[in-house]
Amino acid sequence: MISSVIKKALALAWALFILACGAYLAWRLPTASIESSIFALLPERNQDPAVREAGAALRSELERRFLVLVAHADPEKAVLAAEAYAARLRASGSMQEVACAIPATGVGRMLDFYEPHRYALLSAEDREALERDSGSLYDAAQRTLYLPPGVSGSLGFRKDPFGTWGRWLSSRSGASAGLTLRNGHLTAEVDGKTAVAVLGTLGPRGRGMQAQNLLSARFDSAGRAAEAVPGATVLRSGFVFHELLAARQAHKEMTSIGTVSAVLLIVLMLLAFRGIWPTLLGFLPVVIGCMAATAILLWAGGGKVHLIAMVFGSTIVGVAEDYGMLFIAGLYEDKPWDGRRRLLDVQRSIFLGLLTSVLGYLALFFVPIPGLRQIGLFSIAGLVASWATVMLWYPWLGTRLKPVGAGVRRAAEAMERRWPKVHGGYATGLALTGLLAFSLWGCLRMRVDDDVRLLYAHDLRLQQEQDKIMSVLRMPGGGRFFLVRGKDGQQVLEREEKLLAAMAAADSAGSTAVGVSAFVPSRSRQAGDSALLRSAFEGAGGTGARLARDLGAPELETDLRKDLEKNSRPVTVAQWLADPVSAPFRYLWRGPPDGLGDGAVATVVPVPAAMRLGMEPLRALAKNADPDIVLVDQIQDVSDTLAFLRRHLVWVLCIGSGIVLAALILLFRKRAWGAVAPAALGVGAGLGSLGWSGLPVNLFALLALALILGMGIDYGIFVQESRRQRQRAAALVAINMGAASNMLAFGMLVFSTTPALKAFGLVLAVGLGVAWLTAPCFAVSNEEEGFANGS
Amino acid sequence: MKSLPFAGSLCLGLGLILNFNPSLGAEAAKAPLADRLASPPILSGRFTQEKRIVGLKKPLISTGDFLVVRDKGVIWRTQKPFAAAVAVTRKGIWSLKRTGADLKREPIHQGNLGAAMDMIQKVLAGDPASLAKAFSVTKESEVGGGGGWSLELKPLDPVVARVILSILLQGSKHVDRVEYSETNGDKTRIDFAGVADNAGELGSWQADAFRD
Repeated sequence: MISSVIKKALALAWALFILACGAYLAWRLPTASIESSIFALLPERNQDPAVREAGAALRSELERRFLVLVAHADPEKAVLAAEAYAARLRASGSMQEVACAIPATGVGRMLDFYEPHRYALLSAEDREALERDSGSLYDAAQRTLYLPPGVSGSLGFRKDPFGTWGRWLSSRSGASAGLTLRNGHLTAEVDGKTAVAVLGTLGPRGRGMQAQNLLSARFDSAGRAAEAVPGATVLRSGFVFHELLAARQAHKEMTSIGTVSAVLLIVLMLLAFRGIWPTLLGFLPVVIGCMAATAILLWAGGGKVHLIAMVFGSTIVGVAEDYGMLFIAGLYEDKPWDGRRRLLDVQRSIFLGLLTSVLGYLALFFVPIPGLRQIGLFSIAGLVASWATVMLWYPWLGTRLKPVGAGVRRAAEAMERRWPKVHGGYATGLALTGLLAFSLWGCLRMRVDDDVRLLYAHDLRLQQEQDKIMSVLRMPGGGRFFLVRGKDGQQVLEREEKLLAAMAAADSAGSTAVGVSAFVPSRSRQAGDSALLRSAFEGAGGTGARLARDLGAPELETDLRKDLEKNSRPVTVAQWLADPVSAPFRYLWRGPPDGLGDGAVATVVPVPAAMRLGMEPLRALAKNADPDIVLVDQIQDVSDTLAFLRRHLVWVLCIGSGIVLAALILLFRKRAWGAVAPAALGVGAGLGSLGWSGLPVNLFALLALALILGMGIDYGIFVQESRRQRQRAAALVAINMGAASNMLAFGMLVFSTTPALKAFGLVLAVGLGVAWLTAPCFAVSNEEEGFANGS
Repeated sequence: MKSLPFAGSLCLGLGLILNFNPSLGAEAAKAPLADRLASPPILSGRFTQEKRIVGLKKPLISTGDFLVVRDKGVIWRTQKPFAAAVAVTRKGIWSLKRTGADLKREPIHQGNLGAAMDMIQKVLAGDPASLAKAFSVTKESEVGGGGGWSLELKPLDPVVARVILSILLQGSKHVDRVEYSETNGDKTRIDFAGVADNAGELGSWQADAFRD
């Protein structure tokens, strides 16, 4: 009586706690900062904040931008099609900017901005010529005077007597990525066709599937508008296209794979337990576990959670499904249903299952990696909450259930009886030996690959379009960039100038690299350039005097000198940042927005995709330019992080397995091997299947192993704990249903087109399948061992 | 990453003056003229150029010769008032100095000049079919009786239009005269003479000047 009151109170308290968790989530989750950068899983010491911030800034900038080439054999039609594409996108309202033609006003703005600084800016060729021979300034002026307009590169004798300004501006177009301006359109040649560029920047957009579908539809519609011009082809390049494609693929898989597995799951549960209520009871512990774990993780992180920890954690909490399954599998017992009694029967099994899982996942705390600890916290909190849900609520929730019919029950018993047993003959032993050989042989063929790109669905056509664009244009790509740091802006610009020169010297594509110093040379460079110009101009034999004499215009020397003095003020980063001309390149500046101040100043120099240098030559190049320049490869960094986590997870799994094994030996003594074997065989077969399939071993495959370990051990325990034959039939039903539903939920991922998910699905399907099929083989009946009847 | 230095930028615009190409635009409306003009693989001749620069009292007069090689480039050699030669190729502008058989080629400006070269060639070769795509023809008239013609062009490209106001072409079989009016008031008039389509081989120094 008293204990019943306490139980009621506990169930109520648990309900209140779960309600509180739900309320907390409803209040906190919408405003929570959900971290999705993989780097945030790493320990602080492995991260350089400046590198991380620069990388994030570069990413967020480049992720918004895209370039589309609309090609047609007829240049005029290419323009028409490109205009149609751009107009359709512009009308959609999703874009911040879509440019197909260069407006004259923009060019004017550029000229106006640099005009007062024009004698402080020299192209590399002009600087070299002047350093070699100050008389070259005179030659340059002669060319302006005597060559037909345009040929010398000068913008006209009045404003650009030496042509230096025009040539400096023109050499900035190295930053134009290989596009040529024709009649106001940016064009390139692709396979003998004229391609007109459409450059865009995405406007702010919502998250989630709906926003992605909308954007997808808009790009498709623009593509149709362009292709309405017969013969026009569209080549796309930009992160957004990959993202949309991956989202579309994920959506397709979710609706196909997801729907199929959900329908099969429900049909299976309804068939097995003859009702919706038992089905709900089977899944409830997982739902409650995930909810409580999310709330606890969010609370522990002070409103910050990591997406990956949540996803991984929820997957692991899926193990808790076994608890609910074992409970309702009692419907297969040959006695009238009594929920409370059923709970008494299975509470030891469930508790042992929980205990071993928690002990195993405790190993996640042994490695000093915050991300793995978060996963550990989530998993343990979730499993405990699932267990508590079964223990505290099911005496009440599980009262009004109806046992399955006698026919079904007998079928289950027959299945258990006929299930091959290890001690039942050679055949089973032989089959298990074969399984071991398969696993071992497969393990020898295993291949590790941590490439983050395995996480993305790959689309051949999009990749081809992108490669084509990359081969024609010279753009930053591959996620590689240099981070140039210094004590102040000037030092950074000086270092960057050295770096850009080294890049240009090392690889012809390197000359298209952009940096802030390409638009605002360092003060020392500008001072040096204007001094070069002036010293060549001044003096008796100087260019000024010679021109005046040649042209018979003595006042010309004075006029030009005044002009020179007036317009050689250095341009500053602050001026550049404040002017619209810098807008497309501002993200390269990682310092105070006013361009002043000292301390944390850095610039980003993206490595052009066409630069064929490997990491080592690039690193050496940076080091030669300045030891403080670092090379960052974002894709490699993410892959390295995945590898780092994978290596640690291997240790976690080993330590966890060791702990679990020790616990099982303590609990089951001689019979421990029967509890361990299904999980061990499952893990071996899972790994072996990866070796055979050629799919790579990576972090995600290991996660599947953690899941197989957790469930496999549960199955072993359930079988070992149920000594009477009829109990074993119920245990087998629980195992069948648990394994089948997990295989439907996760194992179906083997049909995914994303390589990492496919590997995960395969390991899970094979490993869990093996653990499921072998667990009942190790059953030992009490009759044989001479145990007294437990109930 | 698959992104780009944002070319929507103006900065791009600044291939400027040099990087524009007349081969894009409205289909040639002036086919009859094209028929009358030859566009040979090699074209050479002499020129006399008169430049009037605002603020300078005297016009600048120069004479020399030129060589246009289709798809290769242009050599513009001034002989008077001083000797100097430049080559414009797809890869840039070069100053040429010849001593005997040796050619010294120094870069004045490097960069993708394919379009600029095209434009210079076409103006010199007087290919109005192509020119009509980069310029709007504002005036066209027959001159004299022997098939002479004149053409006034205004640049369609907004970037070019910032510098060049108009170009006047006169000729019969070849272009005989080009007159540039720049937005800053400068005017340049070039008269061609002795223009011939030499189908012959390029001299070795000329081939050297065009190497890219």
